[in-house]
Amino acid sequence: MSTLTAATAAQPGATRPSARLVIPLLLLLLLMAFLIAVMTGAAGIPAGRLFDALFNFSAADGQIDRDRLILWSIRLPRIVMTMMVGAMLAAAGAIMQGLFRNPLADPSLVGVSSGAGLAAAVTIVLGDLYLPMIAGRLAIEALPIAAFFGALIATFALYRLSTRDARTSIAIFLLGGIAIAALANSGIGLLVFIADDRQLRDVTFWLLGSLAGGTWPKTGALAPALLVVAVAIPFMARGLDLLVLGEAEAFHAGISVQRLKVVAIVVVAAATGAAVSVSGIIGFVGIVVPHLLRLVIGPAHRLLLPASMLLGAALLLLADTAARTIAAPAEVPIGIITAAIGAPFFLYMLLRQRAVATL
Amino acid sequence: MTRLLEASDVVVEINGKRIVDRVTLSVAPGEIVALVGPNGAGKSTLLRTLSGEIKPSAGTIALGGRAIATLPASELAQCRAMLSQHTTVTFPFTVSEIVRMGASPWGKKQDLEPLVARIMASCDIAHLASQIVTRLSGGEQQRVHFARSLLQLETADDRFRPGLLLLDEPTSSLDLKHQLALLAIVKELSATGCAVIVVIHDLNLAAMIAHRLLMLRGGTLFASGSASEVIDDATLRQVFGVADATGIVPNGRPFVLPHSGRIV
Repeated sequence: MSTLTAATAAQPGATRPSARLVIPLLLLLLLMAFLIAVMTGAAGIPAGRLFDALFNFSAADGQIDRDRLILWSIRLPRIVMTMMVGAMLAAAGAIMQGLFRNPLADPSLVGVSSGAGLAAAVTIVLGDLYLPMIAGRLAIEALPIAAFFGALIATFALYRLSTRDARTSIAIFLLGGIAIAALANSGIGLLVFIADDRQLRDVTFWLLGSLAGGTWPKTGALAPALLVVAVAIPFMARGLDLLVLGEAEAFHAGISVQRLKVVAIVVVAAATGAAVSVSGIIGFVGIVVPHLLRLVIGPAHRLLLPASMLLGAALLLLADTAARTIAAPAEVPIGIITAAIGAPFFLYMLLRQRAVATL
Repeated sequence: MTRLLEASDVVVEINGKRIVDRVTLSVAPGEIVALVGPNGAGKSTLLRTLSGEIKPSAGTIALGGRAIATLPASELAQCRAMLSQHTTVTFPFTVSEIVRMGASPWGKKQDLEPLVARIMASCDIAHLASQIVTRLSGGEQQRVHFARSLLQLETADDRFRPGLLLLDEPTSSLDLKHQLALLAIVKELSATGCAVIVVIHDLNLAAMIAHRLLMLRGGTLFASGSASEVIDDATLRQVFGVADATGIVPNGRPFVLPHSGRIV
């Protein structure tokens, strides 16, 4: 019993020595990613000018003015939005994996992102017809809400499809996810077909996945969803832990399972919907980030969920910084980078997961 | 004697099939009741119904005088703990993390450390504390989940204690030593006033531990009483279709010896 210390009582996840350090370390990583991201770009801002560019609003220096303009109106909104998207995609993945008791669950793999994308595409293409009075504000406010409902419907359908008698079939879960994604993608295809030129440009943006459109209003539109995720985490953590043992076990331990599942589905949909509405479909963040963290800090959700948000924010920010610099002045679509890293990772997990390999 | 658990005319139908048929039973604080019977007699289904996990199609179940259907999950979890027959864990939780999941967040605030240490030692899993639970043997995992249910009972709020422990085949994967150790813990618990209902296949273990045996056949209560009232050749022939398998040990307790039995 010597391994049990006083600290482990407060935190069920802290039996691993690395667990207590993970939040400060991830904050440090996020800070470093942030500094790299603000300094690099088409117009580099060296460390020596960074402080003035960020905080010196009164200087009448041409150089500082130019740096400040680049930072505050172009680079910072994109950086902040990227961090929020990364945090929400990683949290959505981790929560989904707990809900479906399956480490291979990811919103982009099983059709949740496609559902959100379809709803966004419907809003773009048909919104002009049905929502003329709010057409001017469409992109900022209607899109995240539509995407939320698209993600909600997809997650709920997936849940109903794969769960019978409190058991989730992994095979039906993955295959059902493929079917939902295919259905949503065919809907997106139809909308592309009937869209006019301006709408086509907007819809294509979702299909590729990009963080280039980051603006302060979009960042603001993401904030409520991020808040929902952050507030829900402490209330869901114990329930998701117990759900890993099965719905019956969770119920026996006092979890109101039905309510937990509804909350988890709504949070996944809010996070995925909001992320997709501003950045399109960016895959694999939700699967890579929680898996890496489980290896280090274990699967307890009280720590896993906030840590996933921090690591998701840092990794997506680094990936996006790479996306906009490696082929400068052109941009590599971010979806290509996350898929290039995430898809082999997924295959590696699939091979290790013998229960899944035999279905 | 006051009754802790009272079930009357409980019927459970699953997909149109009647699994439990008008079972009436009651359990007093400190009593150990064994549910025995052949495969498919409805023992596990009855236990899961008594736990509140399965809603009965008809009949009522009351725990401490209150209908369990009206109790919120958080309160029910403080009145009773349940050890299921199989629990699969999909993520790499450690033994210590799994045991601590049982700790009730609603009870009085206390230092869990001594409690967890004592329970893990009594279940002989203290040396496994930092191991990943999915890499352990079936019997070791069974002891981990047993420890989790013990912690759940011990961390309940005082007004719900000492409570009720439901065990579904708790000894099925255990070796002889750990079977005896688990049953000793159950005895100790019952001495503190905790009621226990245990589904158990081994009639000898049932006779050894239970104050009362309830024998189920085809979803109905076939026989009920002390071991010597329930375990005899006539009953075993009717319920299990096995003859000549019982005897009496010198202390008067009946025993079952498969060696001498024959299928009729």
